[in-house]
Amino acid sequence: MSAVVESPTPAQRTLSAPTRVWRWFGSNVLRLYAVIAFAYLLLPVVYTFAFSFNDAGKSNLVWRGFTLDNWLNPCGAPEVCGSLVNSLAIGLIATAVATALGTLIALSLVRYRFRGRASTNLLIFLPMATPEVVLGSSLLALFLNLFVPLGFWTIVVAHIMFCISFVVVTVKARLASLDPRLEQAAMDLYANEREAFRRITLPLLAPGIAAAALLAFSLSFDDFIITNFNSGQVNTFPKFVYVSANRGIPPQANVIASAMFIISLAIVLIAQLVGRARRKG
Amino acid sequence: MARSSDVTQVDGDLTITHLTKRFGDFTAVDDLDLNVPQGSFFALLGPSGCGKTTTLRMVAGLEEPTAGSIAIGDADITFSRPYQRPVNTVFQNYALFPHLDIYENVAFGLRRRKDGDVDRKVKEALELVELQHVMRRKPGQLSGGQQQRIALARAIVNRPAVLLLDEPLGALDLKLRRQMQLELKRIQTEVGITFIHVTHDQEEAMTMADTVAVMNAGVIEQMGSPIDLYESPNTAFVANFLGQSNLLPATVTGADGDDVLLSDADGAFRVPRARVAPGVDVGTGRRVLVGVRPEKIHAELLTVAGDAPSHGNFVEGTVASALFTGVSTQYEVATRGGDVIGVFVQNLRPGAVFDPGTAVRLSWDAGFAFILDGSEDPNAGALLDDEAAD
Ligand SMILES: Nc1ncnc2c1ncn2[C@@H]1O[C@H](COP(=O)(O)OP(=O)(O)OP(=O)(O)O)[C@@H](O)[C@H]1O
Ligand SMILES: [Mg+2]
Repeated sequence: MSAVVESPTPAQRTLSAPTRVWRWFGSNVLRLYAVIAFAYLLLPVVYTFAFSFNDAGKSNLVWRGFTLDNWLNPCGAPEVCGSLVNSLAIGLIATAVATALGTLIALSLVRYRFRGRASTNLLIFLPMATPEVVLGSSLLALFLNLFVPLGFWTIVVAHIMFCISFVVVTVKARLASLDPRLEQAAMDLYANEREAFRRITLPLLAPGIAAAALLAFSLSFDDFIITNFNSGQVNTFPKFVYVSANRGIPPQANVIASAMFIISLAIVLIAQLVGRARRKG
Repeated sequence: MARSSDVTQVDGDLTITHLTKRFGDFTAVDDLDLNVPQGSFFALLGPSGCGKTTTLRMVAGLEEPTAGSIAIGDADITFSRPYQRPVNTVFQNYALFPHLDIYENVAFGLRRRKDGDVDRKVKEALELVELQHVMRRKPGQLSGGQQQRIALARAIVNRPAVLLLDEPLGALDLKLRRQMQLELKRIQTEVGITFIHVTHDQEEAMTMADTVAVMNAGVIEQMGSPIDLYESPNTAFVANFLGQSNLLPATVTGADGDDVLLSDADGAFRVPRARVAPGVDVGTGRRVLVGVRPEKIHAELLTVAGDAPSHGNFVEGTVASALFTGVSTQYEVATRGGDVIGVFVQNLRPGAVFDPGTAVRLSWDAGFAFILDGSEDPNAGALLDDEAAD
């Protein structure tokens, strides 16, 4: 295969046409692959974005003309905004709790030796490895057995449960690269345990914690399977989209989805710019 | 109400008694006793892995001793928290806080103690290490030598009773190291704080410290002024680790007044009783090591065999190698009895270098030799010294 990616030499000008095409293909295969991969990744996004401007009637499947109405009035269709608010609220609560608990778990796993440390490490991975259907249905069985009414709070509990694992893994990675001598230096300089944590460990851990929180939020906001088992009558945004898919998703849903995409893109860009400015300054 | 972070305000000598640290069944520090007088520059010298860092960490409170106690003046600090001790550390890798600028790094200790005069003290400390101009930079934007000085400023600004320095110059190149040695010595004299300086560079220890403790495998082999250690080593390890020594196995043949008489395959020697290391038995028939430093040996051309000096301390041999170093020439002389003796001869006159193969007579003043225990390995610490020199 290595012959394929060689750059052409003068002797190759005399090669036959099919060989030349093959050579060109060989030297550009990576670029071609990148283009195809990006198209594959972005096409659904582009489609969603485009159809958020569709002047849709009953269903948003065929293009009927351009309008800004959907963007000006995103709550126009029933339940779009109600489910969105639910999803945002669940996401924020689950993220806050999972990030706090997960960070503490990561700290104890990295910094302390205790009995059951190895098995805790393993247990943390379990929710990530278990199929969501299994997780969702077992949680449902648990809630039913305990006579917990399904609804907003059962969703929150379920989301906290699977978000914690991801938070622990993310924060642990950051913590492992943190020199424990920095904390010792702080204690040597008259900071007690609490101050050393607040002034040294926490600020140095902050990027990892922030990344974990973003990850937790997007996982929670996005989750359908586990939510669907444990939500009772409460509607979340993914659930709303799923249910309305049968009778046609209203273009307002496209507006929400596109807006989410643009906002997260903006967050990433700003983070990059801030990071670059800080490194320079 | 006393806050839990209140620092014990004491000064005085640092006293370490029976200090022991075990990691599992490995003993890193073994029943260590030390007394460091207040205001002195104390060097803890030893090869890699001998327990220097572990000892410092116990003094700083970052490691809990298995046994023993640590006190400053009258205050026992063995089990106080690190932030309650009037002790600050310059870490082996500096451990500057990467997210704080230089000013805040230096101010860290003062702010924790709610010092009312942070700004003036920080600027003074930065002035002391001549780095006021980098105040607003982050540690990552400084050179190794600058980081080292900031680590020093960050510790010294708190005016601790004891300052611990863990190989602070280890990461610097030779030239910068020599410069920083003078700097450290100047700063220590200026602020008058007790410095405990850990190093495995014997030259660094000898040039800087008032008192040097030579540590090996978790125990202090010998402690004293650099001159004491160099001129009267008590063990083969100290004799070889500090500079070079010729250690010749010999047998005690008797005594003559204040002198011990000895002999080996090359002849008979005498060494004053005062030059016998403590605890060494010099009864007749005992095997001992006779030590002589290479620069204390006088070498002369062997013209007439048998024309020996009357005091007896001489051996004859042939020059095996000659290394001209400018100031002196370093010879290795193979003696008739089968020993190899190192000799440093100052180049007082040009062109007076003996060629290899020349027959020479080596002699020394009886009072310049010393006697060590015969059961010791004459090469202990010798190879380690080469390692430390580079
Ligand atoms: N936490 C620990 N657990 C187990 N063994 C340790 C630990 N810390 C140190 N040791 C061992 O104790 C011995 C002394 O270590 P220490 O760090 O005090 O050496 P050192 O004299 O400072 O060496 P260096 O000059 O290389 O810094 C070493 O053999 C080391 O392996
Ligand atoms: Mg060390």
